[in-house]
Amino acid sequence: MGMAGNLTTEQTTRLAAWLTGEAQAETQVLATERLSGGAIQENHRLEIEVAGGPWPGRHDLVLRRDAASAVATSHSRAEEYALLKAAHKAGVTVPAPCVLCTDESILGGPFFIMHRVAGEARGGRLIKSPPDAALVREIGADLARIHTITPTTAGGELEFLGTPPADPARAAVAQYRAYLDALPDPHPTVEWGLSWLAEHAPTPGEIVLCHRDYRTGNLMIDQTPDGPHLSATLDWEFAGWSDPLEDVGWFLAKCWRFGRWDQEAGGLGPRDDFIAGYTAASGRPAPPEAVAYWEVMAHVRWAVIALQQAWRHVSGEEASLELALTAHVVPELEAEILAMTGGPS
Amino acid sequence: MRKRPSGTALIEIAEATEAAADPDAPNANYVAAMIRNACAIAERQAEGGHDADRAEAAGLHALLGQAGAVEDLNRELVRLIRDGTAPVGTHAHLVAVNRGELAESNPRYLARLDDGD
Repeated sequence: MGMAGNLTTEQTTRLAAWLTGEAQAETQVLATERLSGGAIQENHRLEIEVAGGPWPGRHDLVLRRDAASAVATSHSRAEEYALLKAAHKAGVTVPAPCVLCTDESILGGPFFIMHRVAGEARGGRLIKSPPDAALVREIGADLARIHTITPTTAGGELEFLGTPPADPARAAVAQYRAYLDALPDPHPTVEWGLSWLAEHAPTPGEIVLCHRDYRTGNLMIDQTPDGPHLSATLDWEFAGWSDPLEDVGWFLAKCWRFGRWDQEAGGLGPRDDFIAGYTAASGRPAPPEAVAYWEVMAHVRWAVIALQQAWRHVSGEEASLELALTAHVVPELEAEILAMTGGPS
Repeated sequence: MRKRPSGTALIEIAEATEAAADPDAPNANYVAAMIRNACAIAERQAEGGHDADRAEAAGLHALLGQAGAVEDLNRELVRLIRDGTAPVGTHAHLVAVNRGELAESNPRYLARLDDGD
């Protein structure tokens, strides 16, 4: 890891001048530092001081931009900023968005700036803390706030998400079958899971904004004097319109408990408390069998993505040990798919 | 059917990664753990040899009532599953194959499942 991702002096100077315009007051960049993580997007810590105007004083911020290795499959920075703004407006615990810059002459690409939030997001670290019923209740309630955003309430702001699917479960099954068909090897167990999902698909209900990667690892938890609290929901790049229980199932899925299987709410606390927090805040029931359906979907979706990632390595598109090893996570996911879909056949 | 990359291919990418690794990098421990994991999977595959492949072929033969290469038989099984005409015994067959793969890719996971963890 070199310094390639750090902001250059020239970039910092241009950034300060651009911020001075945005803040309508002389703005100084006091410090910048590339934060760890993020192969597709880069996060930089940014400390600024604004001499007056509507935002006077010192601000501890995060600047997010595409990394050099960015791929075109996830949402653009402008789209992610729109999602962050919509979530913030709906009262979701997210870093407050500040400004978006689409002028590529400043940093060579679009970027946005948000407030810096304290906390830990690494799943492997978080599951070492004692299980916490209150924390997962709070997470459930916060997820309910994301789901208050609907195609109607969002107006035109989230138009880039496209037309909401009429039947999210069946649309997902069709999409994952197409993904499997594009891979050279047959995968009968994942196929078995997809058949089960097609057969047990729920009657389509309401469609809401789903985060679609809502799990331990993408949630920032801050240890405060009165206990751990959710401090930010990160990585909105896969958000889209879907059945609200898709996020509930993804969060609860065994594959996202970082090995602490007995704490079914993301390895952080008990399932029932998470569900109670979600249903109380949303007023929406989450029947166990409906949630279980989306947990099967979670394992199938992750298995399909893992096979795609492994194929990027095998096909020679991108030689990577990390991608190669992803193939060998698939048997774990398949074991769970088979355990949840045991049937007459 | 074992997932690709194979154990041999895992060794190749693990060796290339090790040769290029910067021991002072902030993620050096993570990279070292990945290399160890890749080598362990490859070792278990080498120990297992063709036993798993033969067992899977026999299982597919019994299930589908036809002989052939494992890959072709799996392709046929995929077609039947998608058509909704998977033969009785498909789930049990898939469980048996999965246990064999898990024993190579993550035996600790399999042990935890068997312990009812």
